[in-house]
Amino acid sequence: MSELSEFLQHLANGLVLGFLYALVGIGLSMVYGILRMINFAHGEILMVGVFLALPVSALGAPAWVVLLAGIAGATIMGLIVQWTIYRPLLKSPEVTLLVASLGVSLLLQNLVLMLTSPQPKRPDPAPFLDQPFHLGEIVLRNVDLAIVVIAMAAMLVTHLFLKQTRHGRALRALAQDMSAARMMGVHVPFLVMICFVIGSALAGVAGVLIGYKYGHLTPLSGFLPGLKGFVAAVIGGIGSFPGAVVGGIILGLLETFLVGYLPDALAQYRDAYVFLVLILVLLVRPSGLFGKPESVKV
Amino acid sequence: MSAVASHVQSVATGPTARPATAAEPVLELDQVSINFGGVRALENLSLTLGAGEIRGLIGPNGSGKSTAFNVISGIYRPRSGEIRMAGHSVVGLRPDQIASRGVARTFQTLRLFQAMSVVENVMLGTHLGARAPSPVSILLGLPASRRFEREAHERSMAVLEALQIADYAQETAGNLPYGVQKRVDLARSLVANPSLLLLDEPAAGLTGAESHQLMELIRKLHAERAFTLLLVEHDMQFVSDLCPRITVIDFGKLLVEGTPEEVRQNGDVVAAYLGTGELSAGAKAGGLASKAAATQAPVLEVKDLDVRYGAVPALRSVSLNVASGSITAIIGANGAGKTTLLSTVSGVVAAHKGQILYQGADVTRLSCEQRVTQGIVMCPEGRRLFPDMTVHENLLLGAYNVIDQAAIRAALERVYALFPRIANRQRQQAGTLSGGEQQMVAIGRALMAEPTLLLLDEPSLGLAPNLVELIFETIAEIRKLGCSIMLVEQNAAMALEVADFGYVLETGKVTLAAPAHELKARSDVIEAYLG
Amino acid sequence: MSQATGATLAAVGVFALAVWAAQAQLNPFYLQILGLLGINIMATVSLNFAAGFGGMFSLGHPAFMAIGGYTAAILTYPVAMKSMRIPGYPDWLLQLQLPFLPALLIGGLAASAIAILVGWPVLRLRGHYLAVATLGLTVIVQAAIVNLVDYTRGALGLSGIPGLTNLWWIAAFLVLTIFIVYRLVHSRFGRALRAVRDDYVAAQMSGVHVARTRLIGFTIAAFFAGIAGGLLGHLLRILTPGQFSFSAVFLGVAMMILGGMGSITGSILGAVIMTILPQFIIPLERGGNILGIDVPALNGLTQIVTALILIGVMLVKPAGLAGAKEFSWRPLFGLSRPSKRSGAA
Repeated sequence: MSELSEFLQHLANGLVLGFLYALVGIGLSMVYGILRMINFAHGEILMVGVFLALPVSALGAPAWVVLLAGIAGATIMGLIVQWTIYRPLLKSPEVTLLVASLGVSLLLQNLVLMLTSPQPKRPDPAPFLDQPFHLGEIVLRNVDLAIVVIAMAAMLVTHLFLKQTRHGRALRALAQDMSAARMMGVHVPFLVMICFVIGSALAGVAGVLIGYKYGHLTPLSGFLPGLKGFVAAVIGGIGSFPGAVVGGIILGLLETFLVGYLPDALAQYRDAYVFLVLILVLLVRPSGLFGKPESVKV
Repeated sequence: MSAVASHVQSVATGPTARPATAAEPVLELDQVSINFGGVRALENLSLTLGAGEIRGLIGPNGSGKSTAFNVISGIYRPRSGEIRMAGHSVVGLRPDQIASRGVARTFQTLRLFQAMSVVENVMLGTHLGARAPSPVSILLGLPASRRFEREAHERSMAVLEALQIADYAQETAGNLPYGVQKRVDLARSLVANPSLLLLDEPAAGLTGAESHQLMELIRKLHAERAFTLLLVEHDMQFVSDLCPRITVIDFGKLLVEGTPEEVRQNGDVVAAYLGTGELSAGAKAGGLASKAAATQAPVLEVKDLDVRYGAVPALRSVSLNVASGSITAIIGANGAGKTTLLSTVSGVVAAHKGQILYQGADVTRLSCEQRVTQGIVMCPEGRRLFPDMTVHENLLLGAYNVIDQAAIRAALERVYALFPRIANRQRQQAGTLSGGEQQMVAIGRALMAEPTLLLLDEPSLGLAPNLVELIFETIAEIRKLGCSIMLVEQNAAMALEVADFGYVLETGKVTLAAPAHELKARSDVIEAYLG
Repeated sequence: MSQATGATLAAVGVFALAVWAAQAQLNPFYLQILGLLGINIMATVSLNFAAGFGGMFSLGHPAFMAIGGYTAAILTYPVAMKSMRIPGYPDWLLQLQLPFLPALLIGGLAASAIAILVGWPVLRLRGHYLAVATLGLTVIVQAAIVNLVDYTRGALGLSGIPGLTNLWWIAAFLVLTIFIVYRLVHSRFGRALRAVRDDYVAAQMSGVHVARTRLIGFTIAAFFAGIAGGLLGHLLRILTPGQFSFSAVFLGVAMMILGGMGSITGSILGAVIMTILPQFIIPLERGGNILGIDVPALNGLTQIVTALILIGVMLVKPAGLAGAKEFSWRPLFGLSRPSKRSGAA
């Protein structure tokens, strides 16, 4: 394999990974933009979504049905969590919400652990998705292609929702000036719920796609994607929709290239690099690529 | 008390006690400018304070007083210009470095350390005092550290005694009444024994007797310690009584500097506070339309309204009516409770007592959103646009609860017809518009909700005179669309030109209520502003 | 000596007596639980120093414990076994075996050094970026332990650490930690730290160097976490990466939150409850016949209870059991508050 094609291969792999991070990052970014809350349970919503889709897959349903089941599962789980735990805390200090989300994260991980067998799981193989896909010298699988296409479609739908519908506009307004939005008649709790629905649905998409790409699902499978999604959102500028997308892709590429080009001994630390990147970004440009610096209010 | 205060001084040591020489001004602002997102907050402001001077800094709402304080204390860095303290430039220094040069300040909004006790709050003021004991001494509780703590505690208690709040020393600061918290803030700045003291609205929220007490206290302390004092205060009486010289700023620029008497007599100052301007004959009220309006049933009745922020009363049994189809102006000095009144009517702020009747129905307990759907729409002070969204999107948000697409299109056309200038800028981001254009979008956005009662909060704030006239003529136009308007305005002259009826608010109470043209002729309106 | 100081000294005496009795009478199982309890209290008090008093919500405490623990363990590890089990170190280190106390202190300092490295960029930011960045530190340290097999024995765990600690060591360091944290919180530095937590602008205007104050506070907290880690390794005689995983993060936060942020008393309460409670749950996790009822294996039940407590506290009593209050002798002796004027006299 030539150096160029190796580079292109990493590029393709990084893009695929980046789209997954972006899907996770959008939900985190939107919630942070409105509530200033880091939702540590976001990754667990993803994980619950895919675990709820597993039985559907076991029944022999086609992959797209499994995907819908995963979206539905994650959305319902996200709604339940938001309604029962976050909603009563809407006016609490940020740290209360953060701790509550830590609790939810731990709760969901261990509930799933208790209710399922300890072996890692995967959706029933979909032969079509596992077939290789050649693009010049680059070898991908159909599932990688599906990730890119589905992620782009999901982002497009979200983008159109935010730009073209009244609730979408209201969501963006809420992130910019909550009290002015209220003066326009926007009902804040309802929109916060919408925000969680969108974030959870996108996490569900990411969850099922991760399941098909990597297999090996455990109750801990959501944790790192959740954290990395947040890092992606910070890189792009937290609270910004395009920021989360671009941040996710940058993070995916960085991770892939670092792992690809570093010697093996160093390549093992792929998770560590992500957080080194976070610390670097916070050091150099704390408001991210698309974010605005937070001003001091006196 | 003087014995206590001199005791305070004798204990004080360290960098804060450095006296300024008579030759060097304690504080010198030289052509200082700063912008916020395209808005000039300060423009070439110059100001010189001699040692031991007491200077008042006044100006209408939004004129840049607090910004000046924030620039002096290092929270904001000026875009251009020079700030010198005792002859040395302090531009670019951190706030704590500036504090270490003997500057202390209080804050307009309370910024106490909420979870700490009162005496601990004040002890923070001694942070820069005597040299701190070594870590070992602290950990082992050696005599040096005990003495340090005892002295800091004694100094703090002495100031608390002087301010007559020593009884609260052990209470948690955040739980105390507003007036006490104000004093704790003052104590925290005094205990540092500053050479330059910046007080930001120390009398805000205090009753007449309290603010008189405070003034006596400041005088006494100044006589004993000879610090230099810069004071921002909207209570003109307070400033006039305390300060031999007053600096007036408007639009971030120096307007006048002089004795209180000179300032009060100055036409520019009266104009800055009360506003001026001529409206076209069509826009002026008092025609047939307004006479007819006066006989209409009121669209809004406010009865015995009390509003409090925590323990601070903001409105005290306010009652007023807005006649259907009329423009009702609420005027009064900064801090009189005008914005609170509008916010309570719109539902952003909750009423403590009293009733708000809208078209005969009680809406006191309805949420802000519910009131919007019923036709009470607020256009908030300072525009409050969604800066990252386009003009078009901002307007559409105004129509959030309107489902009928045809109605939205019609409303859009109405707004663009009313404000042709923003019609050309539909796709531009609202944050990049000029102040006047932003105000147009803000009013337009409120109109998109098809209000029956429009609440306009300070629509002319920070706008150049020609734009002010344009905005007020548009307000008259809006009334013709059949919408009642409740108008809060600092520019009393203009507001009374356009309004049918006016109320004057002073410290949370309605002190005058009369048809607008009668109010306009009365001199006591000026007194409500300038004392 | 005031009545309260006397009472405190008496309490320390009673505590020492209790430690002596426990060490003499209890079987090793209970001794270990008591030892763990002491270490947990230390860790929680130090976390609270950063988060509750300093407003720096750190999720990296297990990482600091791991650094302190592994450093101390490597320094006390028997020379004979070193070159076999952890051969990656340079010769001088392989030949080195330090006594327990210096090893422990060096472990604490190592944790502090890392805290400065991470804290310097991140502590300048407001908001809760710190939480994510420090959770990242936990991830990084865990990855390092797992992968640096020649230095840590990786996922196998570093076993064979000499059992140099006992209840006396732990009790002594516990009392020392609580004493130092208490003194610091009520010193000029502690006031500045709490002031920055409450309102950093006002603190700056009082002359507090915000970034430096926060960094020092964070570093001190990491030091005590490192010491706690060192004690842990020498109590259990084994260190594994799993001990410093996400569940350790959660457990620490749960202890602090349950007790109350900004209260040392609360941290002690929280750590006691969250250390003792699992001892009753662990039998349930294994399943089997308990009190005549067949219980299936309930994996993760301890964590579920921890999580529910965490969520419940946030919903019902977000300030925790003790709020921000501290234990005081005064109500017990019927003493009133010190008179408002006594301080100025």
